[in-house]
Amino acid sequence: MTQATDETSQVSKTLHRIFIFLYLQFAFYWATIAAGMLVNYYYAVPPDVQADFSGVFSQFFAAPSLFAHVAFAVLSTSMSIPVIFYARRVRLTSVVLLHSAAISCRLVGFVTGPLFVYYSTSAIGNSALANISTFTMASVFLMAVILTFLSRIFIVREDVRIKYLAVSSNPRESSVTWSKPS
Amino acid sequence: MEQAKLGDSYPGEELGTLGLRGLKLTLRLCYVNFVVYLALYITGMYINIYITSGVNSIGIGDPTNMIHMIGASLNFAISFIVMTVGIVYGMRKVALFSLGALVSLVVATVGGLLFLETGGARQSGSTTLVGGWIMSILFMLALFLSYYATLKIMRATRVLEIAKVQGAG
Repeated sequence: MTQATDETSQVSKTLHRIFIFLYLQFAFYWATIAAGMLVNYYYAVPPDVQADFSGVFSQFFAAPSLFAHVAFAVLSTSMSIPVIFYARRVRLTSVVLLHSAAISCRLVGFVTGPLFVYYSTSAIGNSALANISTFTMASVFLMAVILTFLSRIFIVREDVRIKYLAVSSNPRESSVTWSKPS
Repeated sequence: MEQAKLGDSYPGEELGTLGLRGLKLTLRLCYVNFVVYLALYITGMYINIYITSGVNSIGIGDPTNMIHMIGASLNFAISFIVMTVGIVYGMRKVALFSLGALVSLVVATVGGLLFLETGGARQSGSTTLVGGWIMSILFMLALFLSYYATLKIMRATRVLEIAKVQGAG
């Protein structure tokens, strides 16, 4: 029984850590969105940008809003890595899959984002493809947000399950660390 | 009475007095709300990229704008229902999160109208941009607040499901 409650306590602690990384991830989402709006309203690709890798890449450092947008997007994506690590530890397969899918969506966004800059350069000047690139970037970003939102539902379900099913098995001896209800 | 006893058995949980069936129904309503939020996001993105494109303006009568505004009204209606459920059935956090979402949606709508009335294009001036900013940021805030209200309902549903299983056992 003690071994079982120790395991339950460990799972509860791990879930608590996952919650912390999810809070951070949501904070970085917000920052990404806010910086993205700055880019949307105030940034335009300068006419002298070269339509090559270094020209496009250097744009990420040319405007503070664009730099912040990319940096926060990278940070919010990277928060999925510890979530996957901890979710694997407590065998939450759905969470692992959802966050892996979210990372994959973001990777698509990391390709289409620079493509927007590329198609907007004066040398290429293809507004139709630039629009498709932006739309794809925004859509996959939204998809990633939805996938991570869904993951939290599974985590909450597991949190409730281990708290009450474990406690009910032996309420007096249970040493479960009750994390804050989310 | 029975629900109050359940609340004592699960300290820290906000179970309310709605019951499992009602909670499940409210949860479904919350999922519908998310689908509407998704439609709102996509139509907003479409307007932003394909209609205004940084230079063109958009009027209130534009078909995409009408769909966008109908979506926002649906979000308002559903959030209002969820808030009422929270107030009536004693789920304080659900009521508060939904109220926050409602206030955000109202102010976001004012921002959207400001955007439309002051030119409806990104190059129409700083007031138009302020309207756009208010609309976008508060829409995202409403989405997050609705999400947290949904999580609270989901948690209460799960606890009641477990209580039912334990009661049966």
